[in-house]
Amino acid sequence: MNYQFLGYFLSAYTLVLGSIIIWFIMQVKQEKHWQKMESIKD
Amino acid sequence: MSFFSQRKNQLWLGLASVLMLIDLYLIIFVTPIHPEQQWAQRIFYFHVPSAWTGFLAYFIVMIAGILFLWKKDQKWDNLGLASAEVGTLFTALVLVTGPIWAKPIWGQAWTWEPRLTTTLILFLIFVGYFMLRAYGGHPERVSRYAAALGIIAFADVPIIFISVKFWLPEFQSHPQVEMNKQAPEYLYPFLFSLFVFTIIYVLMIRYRSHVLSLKNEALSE
Repeated sequence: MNYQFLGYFLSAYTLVLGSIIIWFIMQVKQEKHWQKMESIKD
Repeated sequence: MSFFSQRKNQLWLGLASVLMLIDLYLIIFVTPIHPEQQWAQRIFYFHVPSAWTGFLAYFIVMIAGILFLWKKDQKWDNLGLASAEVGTLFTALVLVTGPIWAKPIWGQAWTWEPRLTTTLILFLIFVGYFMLRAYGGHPERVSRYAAALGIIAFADVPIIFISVKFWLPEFQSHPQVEMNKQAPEYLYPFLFSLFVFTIIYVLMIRYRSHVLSLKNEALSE
């Protein structure tokens, strides 16, 4: 198998998948934060 | 109640994860290596689906904007904001993965050709959208203005598609090959990738809308 430009592919894929995963982690943190704020308000 | 404590959402997450793995397997092991572009060509299997997801998200922003102005229901404002955020994430990925492909193939990461330029403009319009959301003043007025901006901003999406006709062919360096003319071994993994990204988009929108509704409840009087 020819591996020419493999680094470009891996960089782009890591960026896409990493961004989506980081987005989910941020939402989990935000969800916890707003649940905590809501419980404090109550 | 946590979003992923619900069985339905766990299934969505499981489905999206499995599909993403299958998609990666197809891209690496099933699609043939392109004779000229080699591995760089495979960037298209998530570059174009990212663009599709971004455009779909902005279409939903427009629909949510129309429904918010019509019904005055907060849930449409939440949907519009959630979709704008997800759409801008995917448009940013398009603007970064494009140059990663272009560097080895064109020899330069960026050229000011029609499709790239109009996509950048779309991204910048939504940067303005978030500035309006953040600094626009009264929340009810901001929601109305954001809905209107979301509707107007979508006008750029068809411009991106027809932009290739605005300039002479010699000014265009973007690949103009129609996907339906591709060989099946390239076409089917590509269509599968579009499907996978659409599933991920639906999950992201549902989750973000849930978080935004929690935020609104926590901030309400």
